Amino acid sequence: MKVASPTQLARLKDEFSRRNAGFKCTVSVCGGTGCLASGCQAVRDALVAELKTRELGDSVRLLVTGCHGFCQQGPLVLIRPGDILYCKVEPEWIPQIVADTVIGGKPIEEFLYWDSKAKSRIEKEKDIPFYTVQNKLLLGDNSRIDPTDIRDYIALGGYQALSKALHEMEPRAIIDEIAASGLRGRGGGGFPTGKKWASAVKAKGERKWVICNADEGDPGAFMDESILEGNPHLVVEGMIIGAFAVGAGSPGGGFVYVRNEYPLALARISEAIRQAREWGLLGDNILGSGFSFDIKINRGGGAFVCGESTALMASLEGKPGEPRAKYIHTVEHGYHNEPTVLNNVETWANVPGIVTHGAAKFRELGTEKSPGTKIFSLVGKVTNTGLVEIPMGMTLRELVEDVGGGVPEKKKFKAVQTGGPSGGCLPESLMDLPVDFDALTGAGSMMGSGGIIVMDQDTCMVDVARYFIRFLESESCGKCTPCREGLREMDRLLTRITDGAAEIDDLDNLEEIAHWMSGASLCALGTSAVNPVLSTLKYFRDEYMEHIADAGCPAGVCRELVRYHVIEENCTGCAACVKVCPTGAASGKLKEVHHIDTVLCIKCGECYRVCKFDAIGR
Amino acid sequence: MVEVVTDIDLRKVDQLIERSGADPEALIGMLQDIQRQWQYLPLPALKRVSERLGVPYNRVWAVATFYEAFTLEPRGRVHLMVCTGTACHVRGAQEVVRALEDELMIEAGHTTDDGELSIETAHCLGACAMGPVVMVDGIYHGHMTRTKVLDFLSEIRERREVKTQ
Amino acid sequence: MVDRIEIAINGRTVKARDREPLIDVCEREGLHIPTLCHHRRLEPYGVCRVCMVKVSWGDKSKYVTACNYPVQSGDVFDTEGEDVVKLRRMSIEALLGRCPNEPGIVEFAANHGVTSSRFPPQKPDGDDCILCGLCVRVCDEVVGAHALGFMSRGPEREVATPFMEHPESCIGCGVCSTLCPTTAMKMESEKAEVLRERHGDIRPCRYALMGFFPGGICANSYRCRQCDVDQRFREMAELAGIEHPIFLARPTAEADGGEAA
Repeated sequence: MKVASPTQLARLKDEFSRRNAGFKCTVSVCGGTGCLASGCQAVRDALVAELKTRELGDSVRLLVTGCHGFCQQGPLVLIRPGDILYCKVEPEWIPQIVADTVIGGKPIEEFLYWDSKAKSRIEKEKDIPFYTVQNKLLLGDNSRIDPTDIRDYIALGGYQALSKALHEMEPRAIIDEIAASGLRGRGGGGFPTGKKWASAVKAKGERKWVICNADEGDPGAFMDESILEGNPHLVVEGMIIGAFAVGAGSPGGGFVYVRNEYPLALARISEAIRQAREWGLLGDNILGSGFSFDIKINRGGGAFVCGESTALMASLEGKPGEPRAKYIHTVEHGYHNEPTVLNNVETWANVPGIVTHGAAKFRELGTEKSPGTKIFSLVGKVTNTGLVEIPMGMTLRELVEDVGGGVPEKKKFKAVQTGGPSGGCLPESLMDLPVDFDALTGAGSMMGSGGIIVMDQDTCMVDVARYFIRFLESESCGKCTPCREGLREMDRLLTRITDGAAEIDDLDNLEEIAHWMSGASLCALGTSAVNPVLSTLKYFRDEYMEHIADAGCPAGVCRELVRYHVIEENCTGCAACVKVCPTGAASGKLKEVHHIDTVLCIKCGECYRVCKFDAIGR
Repeated sequence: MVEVVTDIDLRKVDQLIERSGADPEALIGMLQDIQRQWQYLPLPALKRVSERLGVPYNRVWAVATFYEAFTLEPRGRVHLMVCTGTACHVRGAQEVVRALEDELMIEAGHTTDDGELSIETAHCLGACAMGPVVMVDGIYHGHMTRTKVLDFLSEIRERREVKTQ
Repeated sequence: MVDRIEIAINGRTVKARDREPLIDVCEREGLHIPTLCHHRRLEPYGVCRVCMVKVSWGDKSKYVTACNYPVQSGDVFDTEGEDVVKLRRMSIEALLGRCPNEPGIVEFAANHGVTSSRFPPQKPDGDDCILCGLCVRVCDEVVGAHALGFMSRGPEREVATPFMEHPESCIGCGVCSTLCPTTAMKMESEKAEVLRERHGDIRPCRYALMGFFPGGICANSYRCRQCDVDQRFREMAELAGIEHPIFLARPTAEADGGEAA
């Protein structure tokens, strides 16, 4: 059925929210990709079975949702009313959970979150420190919505912003509100969104386009994935409002360009668009306003470079994802050389909120130049891995230690990598920098799309630099000389260094090539490729020098430079290393000091990983 | 060498082309559908797409060889995708890849001679909190280590009755 | 009429058309900018990164490629500063390192002050292709045969025939080899042979395929170099001041004021 007017939309909102409130209990299971990887499907299946056995289908609602953010504690089961959160749920727990909590309304101690600092269990989701510091404006509804059902979105007020935009606001007013909010591109560029939209209005063209960049190529980043998996309509609504504001309605249109490696996100956004069409929120005469607009989905083919706007547009046109010179902006000449507004998933997701609550409200969080919230993925060597949505301006230290719970297994923090392959690594001494669009750039990194990768004493910074160079080398389109030849040569030099075969001019050459690439490359992949190398050289030069001058790797990573051995005074003879050693290099009898045969050792690191007594050195 | 199919049912290709509206701009999606059907991109299918869409051969070939998603070599019956994103890398993904390569005696990006198993690396599967991650048949397996992935491989071989080399 | 604007190049005020490529302005002013992937008859490609220049507005500046940078009023250009020359030379050095045995590249490099390279060749004997794309682009844009293309990406990027097979659509015109700055693209006599095999008993003259006289038949077993038809067209091209007869057959509106053969 097509929603033909704001009044009808309001009526449906009441109807659907009443329906949802009619359930005695709602059980929300996180079904994001992270929890899928920790086995939430078995938990879900157990719940379906138990609820069926007890014939609770009418009074209990089972919601399989998108990402709740607390990936490290998954599978997650959240029960309302009561806001009771069970962590690391096993399928075997389900009968008891249904009996005691769903029916009985009482929490089960052992299944609750264990706060290791306070040494106590926490019952309610909202009281858990990981969540208390967050302002989940964008991700908050994830746990309340079935992402495959538009009615849940409408029940929570979805498409009200669109209704207001189409019926109560002029396009100019919408752009002014977005500009006043100070919203900046969340994909990493940080370009003022209002300014971009205003340029699109000025640009000449019969057809205009709006594109959602869901390519999310930065490895370690899965924010956009979680928005699309958990609340895809937020993005759809944002895009329709944007299209109306800039004039991208029919005969123009919209695209969502989704990364090939995100099958679930692709399925969710495709379904959301299909449902929006079915309900008349996409297509002709949306909400009876006379505005017509539709969105197509395009799948990426597996190319990081397609996150770059001109490459993305080339890919949309069915060509290889090769960037072109951006001397003429895509907002004037983009897709098919026509005016195009390209924005990131998270940027679009912020639009409905700004239209509903206004620019001033948006500015209440964040900083003067970086207002609003930002979703970050906190991953790597950190305790609370997952997604967090916080106001911009929080420091790196607060993010890693307070929210992230610091480095696990009593290891020592070494660096935090931000901004993906275009960003850099920052050391402990810079952890009091605020995370926003500008502060990290000055230090040689950048906030980027929000990926925060924590590294500890077991991470070799030269290896990290080489990792990023290799990544970019394989993702480079190869068109221009500096990027193609420069990355290849940087790889060769860094490999020499990690192999302990560095030559005297290697560091100078690395810096000269970096300077050339940053000045002469055709696109930002090439120009910013140098950041990981330059930032590690700046802050971890001593590690480079140890590789070069002493042929040593302090982190014990670079295989040519390490020698696995037993630290005899610590060895308790537990044989854990012996059990995992693939070649029999680690040997020893129980309760006797063990030994590693360096000839047989393939330096896989398993012994180091399993030893609980710090008895393996490398 | 893996047997490459030289004779494919072009009617199936035509169906896939029609399904995406025979739109030249949908070339990439179309190639993905073809790859899902045959587990790789057969040359006759590429030529058919080119002719039907009116897209010159050189562009179809450029697209087929540019994108990581496409392979011109058939994948194994069991396809192991190891995530080598940054978060997985710092947690030791490289060693997981190495373990598989050593065990199967093939390099990542290739298939075993009997066509049973193939290894591929992906530049981030988006399950970063669970890294290192290996994906098989759309199912994600997290917290992988050398030891765990080799156990996992044995399990796959047993369950799927994959012949051991 | 197109807008006349003023820009500055190396301290000198110069008039130009709004959004005109900088390299065209420079050429008109007698200022030489070195290029490798540029050709006046083709869409600028901007990949060799040899034609680097600096553009400034107030205290902001950036490095851009002259071949495709659209000049705007008030732009201040520096084409010969030390920093600019350094970037330019490194691009040349990288290509020289890639193709150390290519006489065309060695000479070009030497002419621009580059006589050695710290970049080692990717292939053991050095490569011969600098990926300038002139062959692919001319075949796509002028000839319309689409017989050449790029494949793969990154350091694996290379020029290849589609599916790495002999291209059915090749008309044997040889312009790819004429424009190639190295010895990478060769229009060998064996390639002309294939035309013979493909067309069977009908032997279209390659100039017929280029569009000069439909139905023209080859009377020379495709020994084009010894044929006076070939000779005649080459002379015509030389008289018109262009490298290859295909530009006579397919003139573009911009170049040569659109003069046809």
